Amino acid sequence: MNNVPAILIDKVNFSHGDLRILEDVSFTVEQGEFIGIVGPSGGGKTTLLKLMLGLIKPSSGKIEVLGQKPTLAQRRIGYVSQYPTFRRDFPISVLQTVLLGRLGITKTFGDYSKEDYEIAHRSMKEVEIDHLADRTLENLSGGEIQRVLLARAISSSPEILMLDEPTANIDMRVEEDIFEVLKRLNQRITIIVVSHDIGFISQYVTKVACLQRTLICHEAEALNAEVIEKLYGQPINIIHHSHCKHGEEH
Amino acid sequence: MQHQFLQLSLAGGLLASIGCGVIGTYVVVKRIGYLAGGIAHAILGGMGVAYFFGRDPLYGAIIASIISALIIGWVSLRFKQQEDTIIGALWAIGMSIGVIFIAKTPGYNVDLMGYLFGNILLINPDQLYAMLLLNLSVIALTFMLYKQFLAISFDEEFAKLRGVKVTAIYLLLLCMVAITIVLLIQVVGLVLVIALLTMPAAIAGRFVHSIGKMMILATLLGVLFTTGGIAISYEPNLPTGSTIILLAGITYLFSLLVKNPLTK
Repeated sequence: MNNVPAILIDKVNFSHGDLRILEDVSFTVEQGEFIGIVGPSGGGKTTLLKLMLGLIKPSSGKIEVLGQKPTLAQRRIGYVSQYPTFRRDFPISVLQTVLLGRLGITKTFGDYSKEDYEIAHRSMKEVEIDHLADRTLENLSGGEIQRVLLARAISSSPEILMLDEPTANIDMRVEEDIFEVLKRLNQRITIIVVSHDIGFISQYVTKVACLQRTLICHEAEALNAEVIEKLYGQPINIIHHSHCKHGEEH
Repeated sequence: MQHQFLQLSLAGGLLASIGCGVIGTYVVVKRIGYLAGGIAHAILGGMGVAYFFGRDPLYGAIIASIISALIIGWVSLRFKQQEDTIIGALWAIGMSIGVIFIAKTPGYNVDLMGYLFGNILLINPDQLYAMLLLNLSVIALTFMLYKQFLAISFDEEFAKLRGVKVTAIYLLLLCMVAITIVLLIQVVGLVLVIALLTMPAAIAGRFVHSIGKMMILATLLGVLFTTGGIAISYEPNLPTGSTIILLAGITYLFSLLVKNPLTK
């Protein structure tokens, strides 16, 4: 891959009616980075993600994904939404769910190819859910569902992976496991993860963007008590997750 | 002679069952039973108009079903908030047009009850060929676009991000629902058609957990209900369509009581 940035955001504004949701946001994500976008709820994190996905258009400013317009780059992105956008009781197996990631790449008509099945199985193995292939979604735990969504996203061989609060509904031990998987995936995929949990993700990501309508900081090093107070309006203990077991260098 | 018309009606039941098994499964998992009901009733408008101009009501039904599927589909996409009110209005407008045209048709009066409640015993070979043709096109499309139909039924947002033409596939699915309804109207009439479209698939959905298996089981149940309904209604001379639906309805209610042995 050449040197175009994975994401280029330049002076972007976004309003919903009279409500300004994003104001003069500019930043760049290089390929291969692992970016955390943090900030309080209502700070515009999900909106920024949807802009990068091309699901909505900015009121003004420029967004480029891998040097293309977001709507054109859509299929090069793997996306894991905050809430599953499907019903858990839908009659579908884990394998069939993961295979849906092949849409847009596989042939239009008829069944999936042998290659699609191979890639789906490889994706499931990568997130350690290969043994669940024939199960339906209904009986899976929250952490397992999250892995299914992750496998579906990576089965489309994306160049960028975007995750919106991937660990919002699961307990902390599983949260660690999922971030270990992401760390592994980051060896070949650019990752952008949205979270409200600044303390936890800072041990995994290479760069943090703090969003509260506008960008307050965008370096992990700059993450000190002063910035956090500015972001959340009150002092917050960064290392409130004491399960952090390895000293990460950024 | 007597045997021939029984054979024809059994074949009609079989053909109808395939449509109701395949398409009924989508109607159930995508939860568009109300839209299907709107399409079914609006069809009477097309049948009435065709009848008034001395054409075969079947062609009127096919044209009206496609038009109402597209309008109702557009309404459900565009006016999500008032969707049910608007569909309710289209439902009633279609039926009223049909009733007025049928009433104003010169000559002897058509058997309106036949359209509303169907009569599988009066099915003729031409209608069977038409049913076979409609069935084949619905099945061919289902095989060709299986992945896309699954994607938009399961997770529309994700399908869109993967480049699936969500709106076009959705409208196509509704047109296939419309064609299937036309098939089923021959058997049970347009009032009861939604029950035959949804109940076999709903029963199947309680016992199997993939779209493909639901389609097969729902088709088999459809055969069971149409054949059983014809058998039960024949001797005491009961209305066949209603007997079929009663059989399906009772089975459905019982299936709700049975605990699925496959569920852990």
